[in-house]
Amino acid sequence: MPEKDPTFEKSGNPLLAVFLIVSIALVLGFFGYYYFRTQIYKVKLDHYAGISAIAHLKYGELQQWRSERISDADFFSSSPAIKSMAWQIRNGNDTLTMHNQFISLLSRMSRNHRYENILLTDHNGRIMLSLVPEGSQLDSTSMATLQTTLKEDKIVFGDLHYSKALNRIHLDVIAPVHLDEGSPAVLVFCINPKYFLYPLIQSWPSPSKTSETIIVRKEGDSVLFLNEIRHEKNTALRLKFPLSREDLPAVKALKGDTGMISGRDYRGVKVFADVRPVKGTSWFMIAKIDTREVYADMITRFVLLSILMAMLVSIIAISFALAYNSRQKATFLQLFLKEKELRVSQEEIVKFNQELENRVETRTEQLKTANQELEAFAYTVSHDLRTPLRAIDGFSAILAEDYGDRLDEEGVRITRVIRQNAQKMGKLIDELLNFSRLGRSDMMNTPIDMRELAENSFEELVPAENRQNMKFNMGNLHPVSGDPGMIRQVWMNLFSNAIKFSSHRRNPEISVGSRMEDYRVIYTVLDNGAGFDMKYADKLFGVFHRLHGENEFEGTGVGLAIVHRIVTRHGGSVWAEGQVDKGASFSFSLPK
Amino acid sequence: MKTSGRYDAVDILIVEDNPQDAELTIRALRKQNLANQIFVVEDGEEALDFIFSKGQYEDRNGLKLPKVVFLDLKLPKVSGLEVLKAIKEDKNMKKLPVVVVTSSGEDPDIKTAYELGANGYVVKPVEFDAFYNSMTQTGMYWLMVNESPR
Repeated sequence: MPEKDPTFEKSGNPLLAVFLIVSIALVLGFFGYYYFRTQIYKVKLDHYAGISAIAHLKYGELQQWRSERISDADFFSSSPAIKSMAWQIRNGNDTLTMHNQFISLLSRMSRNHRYENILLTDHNGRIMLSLVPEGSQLDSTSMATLQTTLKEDKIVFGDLHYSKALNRIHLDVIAPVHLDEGSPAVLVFCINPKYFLYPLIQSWPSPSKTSETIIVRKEGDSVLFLNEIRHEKNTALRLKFPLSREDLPAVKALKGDTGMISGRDYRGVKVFADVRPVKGTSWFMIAKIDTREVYADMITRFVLLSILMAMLVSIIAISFALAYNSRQKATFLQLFLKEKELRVSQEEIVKFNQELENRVETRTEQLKTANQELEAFAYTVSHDLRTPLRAIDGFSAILAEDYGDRLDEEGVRITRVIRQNAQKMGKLIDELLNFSRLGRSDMMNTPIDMRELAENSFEELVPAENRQNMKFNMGNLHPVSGDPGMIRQVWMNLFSNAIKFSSHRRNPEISVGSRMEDYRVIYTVLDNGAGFDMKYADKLFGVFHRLHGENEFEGTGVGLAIVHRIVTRHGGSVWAEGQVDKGASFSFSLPK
Repeated sequence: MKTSGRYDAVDILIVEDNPQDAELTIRALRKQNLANQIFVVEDGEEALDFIFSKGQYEDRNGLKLPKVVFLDLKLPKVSGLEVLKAIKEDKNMKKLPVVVVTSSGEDPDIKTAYELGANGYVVKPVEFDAFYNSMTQTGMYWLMVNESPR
């Protein structure tokens, strides 16, 4: 089972990353929201401050302008030249000369429309001199102002009013001219607010879509707009609203509010406004901006902020994604490398396998060759060794037969010895060939009736009629699968051993039995013969190993080796127990 | 060792290169008075010459064939199996009984011999008594019991 790859584990759950991103987004969102709220407040304050500043500026300028006009009036009304002119005209002197003097004195005052006209009148308002030819009379409002001037004996700033004669809005600054005797003359400075005043008021120092400054005054139970306003035409001295319009900043101003207020303007639009009374006049100044513009600004900021936030989050998300991606890449690279390694190993294994196969083939070939050589050897042995043996035995027999009568006892014995040895050698060769053939030959695997096989084998060795004193006990032998020919050899060898080693007994007894175990059947041949010393038990089954001398019992020592080989080839085992002179039991097992 | 001269009424042709084996075989057969005429050839080539009346045995032509051939497998010049093959593939000769008598009890030889048409296969025992019995019984069968082809 392959162990878990730690790198793969670490590259982590994509869900975790998503969770992290979402949390970060939420946190940023919260911060953004609070920041936004602070920003709104700040923006509001900024705008308030801005508007207030502008209002303040305008106010200053307005007052400055007023004081300039008043100082002009003051200067000229106290000028000796003017006084002299007034005196002279009152005394009926040549107005033309006075006129020229007047003009030369005041002409520069009319430059740039500072004053539309400057009039010198008597205390009744009758025009004595005028810079610019004009109508003969002052209009009613101007007259009223004149009278106020004389009554209060000071310079008076008239109010804006509509002059029918001039067909425009008009404003006077009137100053008394004190003469040495008699009633004073009056100097009237005529101003067209279109130049200087209105522009002063209406200009806005910063580019703004909706902001404006307005001056108003109370007229009865209404508020009157004194200048042209931004969003409507022909409003100067015409547009008025009842004082019941309480959310109008103008009305609020009239009611006494000062500073930053909010309300709805003449369009019904929500506005922030700075309102203040213009000291020394009956005017009120309103510097206002649509709340929407302020908010638009805020919205812009908010949008910018959101975009910034979004960008931040995106950047974070992208970095996560990139990190994740690179981790994935690293993981995949690792996996890929591991796979490559694996493949290389697999290829190596295949190659190795192939090599092994080749080696096995070579070995098999070698073994086949060896086997074949062995077969050839066996063939040679079988053929070439037997022939001389036959000659030895045969000619010894002929010797004994044909010349036996010429040989003495010793000679006969010697011949016999020669024959015996030749025969023994023949048997040995046969058994050795058999033994070697057993290792090479193909084995059959068929069911064997062991009882029948054992009985037949014993019968072949000792036919029933020859078993005089011998007792042969055959138990019930379990059947088994194997090579019948080979198993027969096993029985033959074991029986011939049992017979051989118990033949010297008066009552030789041989018993055969079997017992069943879990995975094998065990067969036992028991005899009451010479037995053997247990300490040589493991030598029993070796080739040529004998535990008895040739004098005691004849034998080649190959028989048991044959038994061992056959049983081993069947997958079983063979063992023996014995006691010297008490008999022996030989057992072999065969798999079920 | 060859028997003397006359080879026209040969009962048994023994093809055997080992003189001792040949001697033992003849002794056994003679003891039982089984064969009057025994002829021995010592190699495969001579065997074929004899049977097919060739070479030095040209003048056997027309003479009666032996009643049986005892053929050893291990022979110089032409091998036993080759001789067997030559005999059994000849349409005139194949009726000639051939018994393979050899020291080798190896399976391939037995199989091949029968496949080539051997009439019998006898392994020569080492022990003389057994050898004696083997030879006499084989001889008895082929000369006394068996009906020879005419």
